[in-house]
Amino acid sequence: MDKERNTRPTVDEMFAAYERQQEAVEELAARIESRGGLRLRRYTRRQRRMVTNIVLSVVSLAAFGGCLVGLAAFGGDGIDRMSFVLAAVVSAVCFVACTVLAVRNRRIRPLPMAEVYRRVERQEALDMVIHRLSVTGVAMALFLLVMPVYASRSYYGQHDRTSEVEKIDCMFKTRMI
Amino acid sequence: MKKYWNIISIVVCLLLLAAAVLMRVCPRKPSPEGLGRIYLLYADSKHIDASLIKGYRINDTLKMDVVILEGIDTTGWAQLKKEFDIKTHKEQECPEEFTYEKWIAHDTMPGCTTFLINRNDTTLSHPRKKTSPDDFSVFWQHGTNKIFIFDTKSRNEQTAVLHKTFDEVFKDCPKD
Repeated sequence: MDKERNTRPTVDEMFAAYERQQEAVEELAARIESRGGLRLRRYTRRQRRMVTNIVLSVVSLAAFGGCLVGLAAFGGDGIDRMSFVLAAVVSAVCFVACTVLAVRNRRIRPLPMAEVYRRVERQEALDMVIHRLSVTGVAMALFLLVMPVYASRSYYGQHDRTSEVEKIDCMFKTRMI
Repeated sequence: MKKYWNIISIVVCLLLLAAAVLMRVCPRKPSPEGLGRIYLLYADSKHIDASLIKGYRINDTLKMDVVILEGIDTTGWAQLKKEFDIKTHKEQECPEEFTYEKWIAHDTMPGCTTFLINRNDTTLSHPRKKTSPDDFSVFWQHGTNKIFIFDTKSRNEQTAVLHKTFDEVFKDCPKD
């Protein structure tokens, strides 16, 4: 026991070793910087996921905008309407989910390591589920956007559907002779 | 595979988005059946403006396709009149109960006339009296060069289109 205690480093020794390590790291960083401003980039999985989530939220926002435009331009009275509404709802939910995930992955909390590991594991498991759901949701929203166009385009002609529907409505308002 | 899951899904999303945009931008033609055939007959005409509207709502339960044909100039309108056998009041014999002035005044009054045309008649020359339950309903709006063809597939649908006309006209009238 005494022998073991004698070989174990003291707190001062550990602190000194830590300082030496820190100095070595700083020296290395300074040397790299001085060699031409080389910057080391090492993205963690969380950072990569944050970027993915930002891209997804932009895509889902674009899909949502597309749905609104589609509703205004083509879905006023036709069979596209339900698909556009569904796609708008799905893409809006995806946008919120992706944005929340992006913000969550950005956040860094100063916590004890055990707590950090526990929280990160729990959050990562939850994040992965939401992440996959949101990716699937974005794909579904886009699919819903594509499908009505492919399956049943609701207007053929040189004008827009709304103005042509107005012509029919106008005809119905005239009396029969 | 798990590593590339995100990239694959983003690529698929972008491809779908591109497909959606392409389908919107690229011109497509309807199937040459039913009203699609009539639309395709006039789609490339320089004198006639053709539109096909799918799923026009007639009432709460019924939607149907409609083709609008509009003569852009006198040549186009003359062609439509000939092919759909449309005669203005001026071109018809004046009935005894009308004075001639009152009779021809109908041509300029806001109103519409309806008749049926054969669904399978490719030449579009059609005897009006020989009607069948799946005939298309045609409406001609007086004072304009427009005709509206409804894809009616049964007597009930033909009646529903007519009812809509009456419903719309009397909707704004006072109840009592």
